[in-house]
Amino acid sequence: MAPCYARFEDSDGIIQRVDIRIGVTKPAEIEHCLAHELCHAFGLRFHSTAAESVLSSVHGENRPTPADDLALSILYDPRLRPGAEFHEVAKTLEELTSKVTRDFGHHWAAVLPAASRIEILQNADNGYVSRYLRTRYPKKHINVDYAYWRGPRVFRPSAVVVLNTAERGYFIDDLPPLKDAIAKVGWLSRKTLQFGEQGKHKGHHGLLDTVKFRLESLDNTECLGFRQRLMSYPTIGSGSTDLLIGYLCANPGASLDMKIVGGLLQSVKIRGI
Amino acid sequence: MMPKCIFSICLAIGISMSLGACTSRITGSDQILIFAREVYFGGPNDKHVAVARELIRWNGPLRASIEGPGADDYRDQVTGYLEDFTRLTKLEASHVDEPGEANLVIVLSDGDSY
Repeated sequence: MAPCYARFEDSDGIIQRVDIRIGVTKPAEIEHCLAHELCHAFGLRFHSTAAESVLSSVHGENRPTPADDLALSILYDPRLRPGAEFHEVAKTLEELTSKVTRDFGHHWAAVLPAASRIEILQNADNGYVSRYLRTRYPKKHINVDYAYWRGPRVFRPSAVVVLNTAERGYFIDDLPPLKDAIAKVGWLSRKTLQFGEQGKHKGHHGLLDTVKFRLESLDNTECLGFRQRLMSYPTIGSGSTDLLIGYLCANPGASLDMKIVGGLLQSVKIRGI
Repeated sequence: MMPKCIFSICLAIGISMSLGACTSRITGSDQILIFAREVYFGGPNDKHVAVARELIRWNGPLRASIEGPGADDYRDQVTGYLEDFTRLTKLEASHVDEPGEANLVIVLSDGDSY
């Protein structure tokens, strides 16, 4: 028997009672089990590695993530009928996920720890990088460390994004859609990348690649994005899910300085591109 | 050019896909859709689980209790999650001291009983 589990009593899709057993004793394990089983208890009763989640077997999350939050909020939308099978709600589910991600006003992403990158960017000409910490999801201790390029022609936070020490995946403003990528730079084994606090992300499956793209909204500034590929079974046409996990942009209107790129890749222990 | 390892993975998971499909890019919305489908209806790791593949959710107030060794140490954590989840789901939830009154019962075990 699994050390932790949630046992349901339900009728016609309505949960009547849930019994959760936590059969581990180490505090970190208890914390993980509580978060995991409580997500199950609210109706997320299966597992997925398609996003960073406390229900994922590969992401090492100990707390519910924004993906879990989104899945919960969608599940309780009145347009979804309890007891329905997938084929009955597929279209509605697609509409709801599209709406909820649009409503958040962000692109889905997680980021890299990158203090060294910020130091590199502070030497850029014609602008500066501002860095600040803010907390999203109060009470959940999600410290989001942003670095933004602010130059003479750019008054709102935009390009440089890179960043840091979130305890969970989260949303970043202004990330470009991956379709904007114009060239694939190379493929890398995901295992060559070490990131996350205390190495908790080690052992991820999937691969990482880098892509070059240009931000039209910023004078076609050239950027380098880092992408994780999670393999997933073919529910939505393709068998994989791409996750943009961070990116670096040149000064507004400029192309990337490959020396900076090299330093960045070295700082996050990526071996070449 | 696509590395062999990527193509092998595609083959290994039994997907008949073209090179283009294997490298296709999915938006954040699509990723959440895949994730939501898998946690609601089961993903690749749940194929062995023999439960109905249908949406389930609560329809009324939750009354949660936590008991067992060290339960007091985790009561605040559970309360915090309940607050977050009820905000997201618009459900009502409360903590009750008596497990007999609860419909969401959490029991911490010392591990020996497993």
